[in-house]
Amino acid sequence: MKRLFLAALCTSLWTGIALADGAISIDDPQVRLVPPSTENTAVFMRIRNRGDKDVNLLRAESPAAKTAELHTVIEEGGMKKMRPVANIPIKAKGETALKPGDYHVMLIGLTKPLQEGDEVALTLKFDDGSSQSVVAPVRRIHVTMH
Amino acid sequence: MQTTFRGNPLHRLKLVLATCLSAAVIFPAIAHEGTHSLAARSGVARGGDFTLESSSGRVALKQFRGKVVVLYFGYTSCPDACPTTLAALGAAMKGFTPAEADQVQPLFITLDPARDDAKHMEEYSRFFYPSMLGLRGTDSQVAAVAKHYGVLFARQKVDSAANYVIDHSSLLYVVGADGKLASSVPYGAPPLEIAAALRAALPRPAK
Ligand SMILES: [Cu+2]
Repeated sequence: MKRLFLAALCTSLWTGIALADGAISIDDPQVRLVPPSTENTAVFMRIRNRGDKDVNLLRAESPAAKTAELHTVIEEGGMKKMRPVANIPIKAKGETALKPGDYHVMLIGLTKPLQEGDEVALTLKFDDGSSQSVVAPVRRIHVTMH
Repeated sequence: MQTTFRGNPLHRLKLVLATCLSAAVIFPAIAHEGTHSLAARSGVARGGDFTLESSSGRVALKQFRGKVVVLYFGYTSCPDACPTTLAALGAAMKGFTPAEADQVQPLFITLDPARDDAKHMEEYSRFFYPSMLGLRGTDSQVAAVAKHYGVLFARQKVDSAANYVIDHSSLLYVVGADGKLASSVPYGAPPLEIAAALRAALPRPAK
């Protein structure tokens, strides 16, 4: 049993998903490939909260950019408006998607241009005291929303 | 104008015309007041000629007469609406036959000329589709073009390392071979819908 647990732990570390206290997990992190010489980009993912308490994502850090901020996009008066947010909530037993047109981690001031397939390290800090380190591949992101 | 491009092209055209006409009748005064929001959502956008700057000199809408032109207004530090829409437009273009693609000119116009220089606009636009041109102008030139097309935008200071963002509407504008605004495609339209809108405006069906 112990060995099984260790195996699971290693696998999750291997795939870049660290187990904190187990409540929060990150799926499918990805960085949007942007044209060369573009200084900002967005990181998307799904954050799952298996715990019984609501958790807030408070901060993101990445060596790939000068600053990482939490943002959302709202639609108002016929316009798309991107705004910084203080936190991104993940409900107890729930999931929050960071996706185009919605919540995202914004990387501002990329330290070097990103190529398709590059991997970006990202640390996420939550208000339950936990943190998650993920490695997000840089991908072309095509989406259609309705 | 929330035009979705489904059904046959003629029907779509009628729908667009009907929307434009009714909007023009209901809001004739508003169109001149700079109340862009109502104007744009009601389809009062009139389109029209303009001349802006690319990295290789002046570009006038007129020089593309005979082709369909598809216009998008945004800014390159936009993390979201712009790359999403331009990627969808690029995918639509890549789905065309070479003959069709030759008849469509995509243009990306920056609403943030202070930060987007011509060289960067060129690189940024080319990334999404090789023939897409990136255009800029002075603040007032850009604002004038945006107004003609019913684009809503506002520079907004935010508490962010990005300093300010540009709130903006996010439609694609299809200009027919005659230089007249033919239709607009709403934000989030999949590539097939964009392609259908462009095909509907092509002067003759490509083989
Ligand atoms: Cu953002």
